[in-house]
Amino acid sequence: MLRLSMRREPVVPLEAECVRPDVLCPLSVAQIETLTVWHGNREEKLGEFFAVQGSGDSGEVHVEGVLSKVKWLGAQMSGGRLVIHGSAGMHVGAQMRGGSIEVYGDVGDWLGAEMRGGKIHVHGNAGHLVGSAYRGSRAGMRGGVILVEGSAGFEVGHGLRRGLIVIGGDVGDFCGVNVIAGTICVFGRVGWRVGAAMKRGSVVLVHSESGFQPLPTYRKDSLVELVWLRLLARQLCQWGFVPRALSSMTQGTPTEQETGEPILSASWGEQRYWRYCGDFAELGKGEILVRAS
Amino acid sequence: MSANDGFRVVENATCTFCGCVCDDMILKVQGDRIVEAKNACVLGKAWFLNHQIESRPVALIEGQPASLDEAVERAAQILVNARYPVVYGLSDTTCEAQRIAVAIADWIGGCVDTTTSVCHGPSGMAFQGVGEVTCSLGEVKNRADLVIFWGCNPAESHPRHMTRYSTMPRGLFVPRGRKDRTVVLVDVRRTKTAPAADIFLQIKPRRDFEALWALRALVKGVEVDPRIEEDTGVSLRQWRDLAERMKSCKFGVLFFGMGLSMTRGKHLNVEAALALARDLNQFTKFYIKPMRGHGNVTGADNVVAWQTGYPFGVNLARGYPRFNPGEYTTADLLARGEADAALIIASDPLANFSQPAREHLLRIPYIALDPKETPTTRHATVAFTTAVYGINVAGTVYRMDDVPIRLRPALPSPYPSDEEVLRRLERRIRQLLGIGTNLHPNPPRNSHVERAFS
Repeated sequence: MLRLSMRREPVVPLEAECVRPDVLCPLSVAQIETLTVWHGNREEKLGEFFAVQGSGDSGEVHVEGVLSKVKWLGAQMSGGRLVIHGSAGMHVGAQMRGGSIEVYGDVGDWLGAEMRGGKIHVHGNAGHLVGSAYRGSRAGMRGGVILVEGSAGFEVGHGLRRGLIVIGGDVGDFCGVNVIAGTICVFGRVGWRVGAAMKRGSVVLVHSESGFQPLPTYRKDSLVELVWLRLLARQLCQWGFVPRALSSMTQGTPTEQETGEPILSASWGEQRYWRYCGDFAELGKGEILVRAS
Repeated sequence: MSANDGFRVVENATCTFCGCVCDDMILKVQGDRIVEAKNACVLGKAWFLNHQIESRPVALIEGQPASLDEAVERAAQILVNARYPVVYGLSDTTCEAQRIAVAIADWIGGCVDTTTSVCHGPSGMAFQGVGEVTCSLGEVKNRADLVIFWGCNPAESHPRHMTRYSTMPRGLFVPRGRKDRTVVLVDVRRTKTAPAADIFLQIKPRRDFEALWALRALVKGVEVDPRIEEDTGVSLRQWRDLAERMKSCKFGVLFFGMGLSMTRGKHLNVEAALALARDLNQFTKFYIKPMRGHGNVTGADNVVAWQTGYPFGVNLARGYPRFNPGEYTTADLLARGEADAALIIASDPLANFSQPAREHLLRIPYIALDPKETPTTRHATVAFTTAVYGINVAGTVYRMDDVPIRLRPALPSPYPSDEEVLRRLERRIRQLLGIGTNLHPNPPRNSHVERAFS
């Protein structure tokens, strides 16, 4: 296992896209320390900011320190496991193709933007534009899984084309805007204009009081019970995903420590949901599933 | 220019106060004052008649008067030593000065951003997402029979827009002027533009997106939930009527202001409006234009776009441009405490940015260029007093419909122009970076930086 411990905090944003397991693991510690990072407009060595220990034989890289000004961690990675201890900056896992990223802290904007494969699990909050398209791109995330246990900002899954985004807390406005296909699941409250301009795809609102206000171009369709929601719920349990909103909803019930069972039961997948279809200003083949109270 | 009774008359001068950039001013100049501004609106009159030469030092370093050379030297040192500098402002100066400012940002490896990012930046993002069905104001004057103002108040912010371009003038295909046009205003309150409109739709605040989205659906013939009345405060019948008018007009145009681009939804509000205009072209000719505020903010977009490929919020740290609004826009990168130096040209962020952004700006060294004393120049490490564009300085500006217009200055100024200060600053920066004055078109920038600091 490779361990990168921050030894010098960057003064201005540090762009460290070389910090990805598939690049670091085949290299020796000395080689890793000479890799280039961009500290503002200057090229510097990775070793000036991080102390590197261990070996990459296991394909696992751990990064720790005050990382909020460090951008592009795990960007474009195609394999291995990256574990971030602390709150990371923007573009974590952007355009990644494979492997997994685990973040024990918060992340900045553009988490997993335009990712094509792999899995990201954030135990804290995420910024805006989770799994979204960069400005000027037609499509955002094209495959893979993003799990955020806390809240996320605006435009979650902007231009999502394939893949799964799960937000355990609240989300801001325009969740699922311009979605082409794919699935977004939100456990907390939602902002305005969910699913605006959605062509296909599904947005699932698990909270029974999510604050959902349908756009005038959506139609309430039917009350449904869906098999794939049960499968999704079970899969999230297996991944050890603990949505913050659901744990606050179940206050007063026995905790994980008391029961030895995961706090998230898969029961939310067995509930009935109102299906809204739209967006009829666009193709109109999308759906928003809102938990029936 | 002609002399008459001790007065000097400057004909066809250009007013650079707002985005209309009216170029039919007749200015009467006496001594160092403009005493009459014929054809000017109330804002233009205030712009020209209140102009006076202030007795301020040409430059200040940390509040103390300094020579131009000393100030240029200090400013160049600050910018060359910075790791994450930002060049910001640019909307109230000439295209010639803007061009040099972008070059400076390129040499120092900084971000270049204009005041567009705090007004119609969302519109720029929406243009990229949807595209813009565009026309010139001349086409509007000669052809438009349906004019919609959305989230803007031209009667007060662009007083001559309606009389010169959009609603009143007689045109080739609208020979009776106002009588041949239908004017619609959509806004959250009854502004002074409302009496000039045939139809006024007062919508609920922050509900522009829902309204535009419903219009899009109605234009396409999709049924809309009657709940739209509750959402927007305007009945479905009225929206249906507007949609029909939009589809049946011969030449429609929608002008939108910051009521759309800077309220909840921002760029997605504008995307909705742009998509509506695009959809309407299946039925008729329909266009959409933003109502740009500052005199040459449109020029700033154009200059930054033709130099870097993007209109605002561009990072040049790696020697090539990267565009990401939210990451490289000044208000955001100051609020996050990222920039370590700034060059602010003809704008006043200390008067209108958020508290965290202002606090960070006060912590870092920055250079300000402005004809007037402002909160930003008062706290600047280096402040230059410059001449006023359009009154003292010639150059090129862009009207809000992207038409370039040449300026005819009325008065000389004891102060240098923005262009002159920036040119000197750029020359000194190049010297410090070891880049010759005979420019290589694309020198490997980073190696020069290393040489300067080795």
